[in-house]
Amino acid sequence: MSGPSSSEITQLLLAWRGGDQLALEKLTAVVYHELHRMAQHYMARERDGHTLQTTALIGEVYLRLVRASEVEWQDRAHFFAVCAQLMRRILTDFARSHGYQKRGSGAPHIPLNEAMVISPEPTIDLVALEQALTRLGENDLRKSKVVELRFFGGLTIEQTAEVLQISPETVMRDWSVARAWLLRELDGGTHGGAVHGA
Amino acid sequence: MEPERWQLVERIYHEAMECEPGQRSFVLEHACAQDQSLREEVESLLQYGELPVDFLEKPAIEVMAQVLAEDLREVEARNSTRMIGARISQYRIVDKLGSGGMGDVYRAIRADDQFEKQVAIKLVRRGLDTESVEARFRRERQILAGFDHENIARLLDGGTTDEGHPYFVMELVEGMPIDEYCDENRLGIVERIDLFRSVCSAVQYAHQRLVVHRDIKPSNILVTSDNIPKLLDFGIATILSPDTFSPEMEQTETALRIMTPLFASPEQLHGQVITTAADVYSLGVVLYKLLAGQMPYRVDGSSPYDLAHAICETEPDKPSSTVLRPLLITRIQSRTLNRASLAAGPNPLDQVSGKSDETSIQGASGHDEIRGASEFIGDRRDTTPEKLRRSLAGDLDQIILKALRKEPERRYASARDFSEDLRSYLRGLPVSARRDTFIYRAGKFTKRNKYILAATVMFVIVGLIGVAVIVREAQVARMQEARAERRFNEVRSLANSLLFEIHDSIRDLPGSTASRKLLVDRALHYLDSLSQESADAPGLQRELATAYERVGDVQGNPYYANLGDTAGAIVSYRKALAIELALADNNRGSYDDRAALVDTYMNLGLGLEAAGDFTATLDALQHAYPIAQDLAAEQPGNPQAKERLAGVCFILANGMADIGNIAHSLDFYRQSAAIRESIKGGSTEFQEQVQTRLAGVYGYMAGDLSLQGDMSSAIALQDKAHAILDRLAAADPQNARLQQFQFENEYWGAYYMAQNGMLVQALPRYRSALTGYSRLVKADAHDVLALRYVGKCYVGIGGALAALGKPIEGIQTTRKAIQIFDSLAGADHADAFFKPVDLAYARATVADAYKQLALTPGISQVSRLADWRAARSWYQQSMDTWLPLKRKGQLGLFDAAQPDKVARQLADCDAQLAKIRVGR
Repeated sequence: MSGPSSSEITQLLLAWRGGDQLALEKLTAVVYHELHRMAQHYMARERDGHTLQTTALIGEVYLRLVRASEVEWQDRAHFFAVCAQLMRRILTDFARSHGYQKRGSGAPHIPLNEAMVISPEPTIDLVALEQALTRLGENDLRKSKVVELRFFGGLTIEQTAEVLQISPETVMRDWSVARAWLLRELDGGTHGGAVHGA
Repeated sequence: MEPERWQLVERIYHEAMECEPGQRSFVLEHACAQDQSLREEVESLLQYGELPVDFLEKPAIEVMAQVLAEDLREVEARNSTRMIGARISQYRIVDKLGSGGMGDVYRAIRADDQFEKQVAIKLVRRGLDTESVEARFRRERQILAGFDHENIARLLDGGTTDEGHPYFVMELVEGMPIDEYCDENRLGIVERIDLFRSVCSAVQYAHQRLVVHRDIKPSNILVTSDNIPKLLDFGIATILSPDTFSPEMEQTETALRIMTPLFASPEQLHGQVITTAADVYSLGVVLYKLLAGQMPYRVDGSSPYDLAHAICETEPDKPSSTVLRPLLITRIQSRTLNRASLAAGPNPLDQVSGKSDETSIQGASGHDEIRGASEFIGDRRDTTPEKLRRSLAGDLDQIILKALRKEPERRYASARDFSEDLRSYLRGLPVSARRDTFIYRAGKFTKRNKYILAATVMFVIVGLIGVAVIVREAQVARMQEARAERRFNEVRSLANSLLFEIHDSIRDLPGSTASRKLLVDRALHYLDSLSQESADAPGLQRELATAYERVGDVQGNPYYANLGDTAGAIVSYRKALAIELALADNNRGSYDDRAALVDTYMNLGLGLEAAGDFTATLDALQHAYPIAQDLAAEQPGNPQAKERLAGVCFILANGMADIGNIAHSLDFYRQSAAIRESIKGGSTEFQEQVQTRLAGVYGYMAGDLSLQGDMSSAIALQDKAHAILDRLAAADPQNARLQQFQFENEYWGAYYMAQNGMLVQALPRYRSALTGYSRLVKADAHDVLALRYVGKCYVGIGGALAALGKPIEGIQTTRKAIQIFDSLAGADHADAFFKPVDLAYARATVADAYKQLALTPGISQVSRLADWRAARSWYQQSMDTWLPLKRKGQLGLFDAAQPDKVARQLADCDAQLAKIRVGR
């Protein structure tokens, strides 16, 4: 009922890292379980009228996945990196299999002259995003890693800096550029897909 | 794009971003030189880079979860509208009443429409492990359905739909959540407390039946238009939530697990054992809300994790303090689980947070009124903020805070105690909450996490001990009771925070065996899990051992009216024994531990004897004997020590008799009698116990002696026992226990007489015993022990009648016994011991009667033939019953001789039948 234990999940993560597909399935199940639980939480929160923030939730997922102190990883960086990759993989699969790419039709079409309108929660086509991220990675691996760690892994600027062994300022810069680039990609590449050359 | 170009683009991008807005075109000019495409590239990136959009700020998993949530919501909305008109079980859904954390609630009527009876159906939408939910529901249902309390919404039915959604059918309650109701009607402090106390009584009622609500909150407490609060969803949380016993439970995840962390107790958030103390806590939060208008904890950042942290680690604000400094006011949602009518008036409390005194409040008409939140709170209580503060300060503060203590054992022991303290407050009497603060100020309970589990565990066990005692007191208890009571009182003073008010609970507890079985199952379930977790806590271990013993008693201690599950009892006793052996450490342990060990050996011995395993009985008792002797020697002035030794001797004597060693048996009986005759001191009750048991010893000695054929001594002893019991009963006429001893005494006296041919004298004694036992059975149809004796009396009477020349009557009477024994065999926990032996005797008795008939002079050949045949048939049946027992070696001395006797009778029948056929 409560799913695999911390140590079991650690084993699964290691196995997956080594190429074990079955481990991926099991981990997927765990993440899906968390997804559903979080979804339940969102639904319940609305109903009972509690205004609850969600920033702490992502941290909980990781605590659920592995209790960091117990993990025998070479270093935390390695662990976080692996987790972020895992999340990227699983969540994209989830979005794809549930047909969520139709949702939100790409980035919000924000007419540039109405740039002042803030969309608080832009809906994202995760599948398209992930593809764009892959393309970004082909040209600039570090930036795609930054996005992977921050968006899929939920890490802070500082944590990302630690994992990638760069300064936080560099992370922020990368983050800024990468986001701009991705937004543009998702907006249909109206500027002619300059990154791809020609 | 080549890497160098990309890096260039990047560098220029950053330069442009970091410079003054006015400077930008200049920078771009400069950096891009003449490269137009470069400039376009950078500019387009800048455009996107500057959009004030929270792109990718929220982690992917949250985004997906929200998307998923939307989907699920849509599905539900579709489903719930779809549900209207649908049928569930014999009900038809009429409309939707609301949605809750777990599912939707609908109004429904019975599909046959004959009765206009409306119910509420709660449909659980979560994808759950339906099998285990169903299993849990079945277990809980009987107890829940039996609830009958004005302030509890009855659970009528439940099950799972075809799609696998659990549903619960409940009494329909139309009302408002209690906090809204109180605000709506501007009830003052006193009125709110009164209302609250009804809720406490409902919770207490359920606790006595071992049902913990687990989800007490205002939306689960609806007040009807008649001003009656009704508590909803009792037991449902238990049925739906997974077991909390997995040691794997990780701290943080429980914050997500609880749907309403606002009212949850620290131990719930820790995923620890949930006891009735958790309900007391939640009640405390509700009262806090009702009186002070706010929630007890200030939370910075309101994620569930922060909230959980606050609940577990920080101290709540005093209610009186928060009145003047309202900080966090939670919105009261209009939608609740079971509301049929919306609030009649505006719900102006619409704003959350704000660290100031001023809170913006919007009335229903949309006007913005800036009013102080404290004024509002005071107004809803028909008072001013300052007056409210003064009312709350002092006793009420302390009462509420006591209910909110982190450590369950420091809270009120029961909802009843909580209510009583409130009553004291209302009457201007001193409240207990204030005493406690003083005592605990020394900060004794500083070690939290590790020992919370220990403390809550203790409650469960202590509570269970209480239950077992209740059950026994509701029955006619027997010899070991004084020991049990003493043990129980010791435990009670130890805990001092019992969950059950024992004496009052006795009347309320259901008397049926079925519910007792449920309680036993539940108890064992708890105990087995706890025993894994408490391995290194000796205090706990002791409680655990005691609890196992008590449960064993209820299961099948032959000295008590029990459930007839001797095998189960033995298992439970052995568990207790294992624990106690470790504690007693082979006679090096403390006095008390060794005494407990002896007691358990005794119970185990009794159980084993009832199961027919006589060698094991003797083995157990022979272990106990030297320890008991040591104990008596160590404390020569201690009457209990002597009594314990006497008890050991007694059971030893029984065991000896069972294996046929009458001489040793008598020795031990004499020793037991001698000790008991010499015991002085102790309470009146204790003395009565000792005397009663002495009578028992005499009775059993009489049995031994009658086996040896010494009838005069046997009868003399029987009369001695009779005299003691008469004397005791005269002094204590209401004592049902004594009466039952008298019956037993009568029966055995009759039996010994009958065995030795004194049938005329035996009959009236049998009849007197029969009357007594029949009365007991009438009081409780499931009293296996009494029922068995009714059967035995019938056998005795039947046999005597047959031998005295009334065989037909004899047969009729004995057949009644056979009916009874058969029905006992049909019961689910068929005792290996009772049924066959009793049946075997009964059948042989019927056969004897037919034999009498056959020997009647002057009857026709045909009749004689029929009678001999009947006799033979019944002897054969008896034989068939004896043989397996004999083979298994389960027969005591006297019984062991029976198969041969029957064999001889069979042979005799055959001979007679042969003669008749030959035509003599």
